[in-house]
Amino acid sequence: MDTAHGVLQAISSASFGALGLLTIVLWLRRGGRQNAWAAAAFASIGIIVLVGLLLPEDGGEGLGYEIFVKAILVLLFAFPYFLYRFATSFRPQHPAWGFIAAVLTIAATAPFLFITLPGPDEDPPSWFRWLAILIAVQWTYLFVSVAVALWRGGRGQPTLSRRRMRVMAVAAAALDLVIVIGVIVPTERGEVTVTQLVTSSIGILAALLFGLGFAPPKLVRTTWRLPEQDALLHAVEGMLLATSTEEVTSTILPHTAKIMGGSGAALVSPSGALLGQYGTGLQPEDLRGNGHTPTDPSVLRVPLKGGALVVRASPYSPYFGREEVTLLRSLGNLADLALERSAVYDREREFIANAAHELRTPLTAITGLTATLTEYRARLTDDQVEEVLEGLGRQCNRATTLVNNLLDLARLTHETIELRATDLAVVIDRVMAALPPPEGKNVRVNVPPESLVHAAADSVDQVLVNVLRNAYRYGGPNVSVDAVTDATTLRLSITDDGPGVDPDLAPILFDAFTRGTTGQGSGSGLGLTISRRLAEAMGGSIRYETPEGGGSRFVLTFRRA
Amino acid sequence: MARVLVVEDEPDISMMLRVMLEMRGFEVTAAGSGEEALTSIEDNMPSVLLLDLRLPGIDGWEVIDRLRDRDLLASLPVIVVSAHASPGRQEQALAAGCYAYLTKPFRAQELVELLEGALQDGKE
Repeated sequence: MDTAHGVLQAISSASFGALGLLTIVLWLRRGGRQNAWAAAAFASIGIIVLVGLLLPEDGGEGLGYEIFVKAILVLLFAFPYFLYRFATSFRPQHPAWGFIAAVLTIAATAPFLFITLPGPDEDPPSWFRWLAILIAVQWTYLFVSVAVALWRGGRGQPTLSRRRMRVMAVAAAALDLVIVIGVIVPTERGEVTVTQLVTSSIGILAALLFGLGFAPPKLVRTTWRLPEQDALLHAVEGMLLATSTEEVTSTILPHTAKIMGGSGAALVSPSGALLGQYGTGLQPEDLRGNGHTPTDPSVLRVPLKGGALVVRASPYSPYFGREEVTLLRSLGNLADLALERSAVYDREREFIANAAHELRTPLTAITGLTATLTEYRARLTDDQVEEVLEGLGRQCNRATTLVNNLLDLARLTHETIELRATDLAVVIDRVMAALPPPEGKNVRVNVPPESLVHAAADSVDQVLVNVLRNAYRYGGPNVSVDAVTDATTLRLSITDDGPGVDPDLAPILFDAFTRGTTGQGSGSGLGLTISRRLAEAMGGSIRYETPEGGGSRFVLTFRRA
Repeated sequence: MARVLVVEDEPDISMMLRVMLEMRGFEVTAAGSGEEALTSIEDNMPSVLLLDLRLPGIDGWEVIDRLRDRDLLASLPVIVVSAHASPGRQEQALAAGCYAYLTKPFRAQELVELLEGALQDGKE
């Protein structure tokens, strides 16, 4: 029995010593209030264990020894108080509970500071038993509070966090059991009893459970996380299949909240626009745009390229769900990819809808005019027939241009343009011959001969026709085409003195199907989009600017050959 | 003779509607913008309004709002003729008090049936 007790005591000492080291390491590595309280609690018990091993069995003598023993006793009473502070630091508690804990701890500690402790061979005085009962009350109050706080706090948490908290709750209850048994069941000095073996075993079990709670091994973490793996897989699957922002948000947000044990989650754009929200608990200040850092530690924010993923997690998540926070970042990165892809789908859908809308106009005219011509040919006057035929011709051309432009755009997305040294002056002469200024318009060209650039003549031709046609259609009477060169580039500007582009329209001028509300809307709405793609494919660019004094200017940039 | 006001900024579609409806015995007036349409309605109330939604200046929705504000929608059936095919817009137009929503391109017969229905309902 003595041997067994010795072995159990050695294991117990090693367990609590290791636990003390573990919590100190966690505190040093991660910092934070909770880690500090845990380290204080288990460092106290670790010191007690270590000192217990070092002290001679027959005790010591003198004032120094007594002060030393009293310091150890203070640590023994401080241990449950520190653990209480750890367990209750996650959520605000009613101040009365904390007050009772402090009073009980002081009440249990104070008498030992003032009495003379009995020696190892002395029988303790009869009132010593009352002190033992007071200690049992203090430990019971504190450990039961710890157990209740951690057990109840585990409700609604992800499985891993919940189990970590609950094994610690069981460990706290087990430690309380040890002290209660110690007080209730009397022991004879010098004799090892079964009760002592049982309490030593329970103590070891409690140490192991605390260790499991503070730092569960990887295998345990993986096993306990299995239920959340399903949520994660669903979230990943949903995001892989999502083709719109709505689908991304409706997929990721409920699963994110579940994985984090939170009450709400949201995706916000870089400017702070709400892309989607799930659940409750997030305040408007939590949903600000990029650059905002939440002050509430329960609000977790993962910055994304496409904004931020914000989660109202539980107060326990930052401590017990550290890996889940890492997981949240991975989910956020996936959401970023899904949002980017959805934006492509959204743009495609919008493009197709716009293209269909643009095609409806000529088709409406063509079908209606054809039906009228077929049905009422005999009753129509010659002028009416001519009017109808001219309209048919215009709308057929419009539909043809639109279809050709759509094909050009499709071709430009996966075809490269072969570049060669091209004389811009020659290309401009050719364009001016093919597209002379209409009546009332005047074009002045100021491009020196042999302006050689890396380009494809046909593509430059297409861009210039688009820009010049716009200048003829929407610009003023005077148009100028000027070339300016530096060491590496040639800038070709086409300027007119018309009313200029509506400032609201300028930022989206090169987007497909952008049209103003003035002027004839007979273009395809794709000319400038194609021009930009062509300019970029030639290693250059095209931009719009408003010249000083008004009008409009398109600036094409080429690499000099 | 029933008078139809065609509000359409695309000249060829406006011309097509005018010829098509004149051949079927309607009197047709055309307006190229929302402002023109409202002025025309004030000058001479048509029997039916054929209204495009995308118009320069005051758009089709604004025209509908102004007619509703003047309590004219009950006596002037509005048939929206639009290239926007989304069900949401159709519902929105009908909820706003329009008689019907016709999506471009349409068959002549569809338009004529709607016009006749609107005129018949107006008489009742």
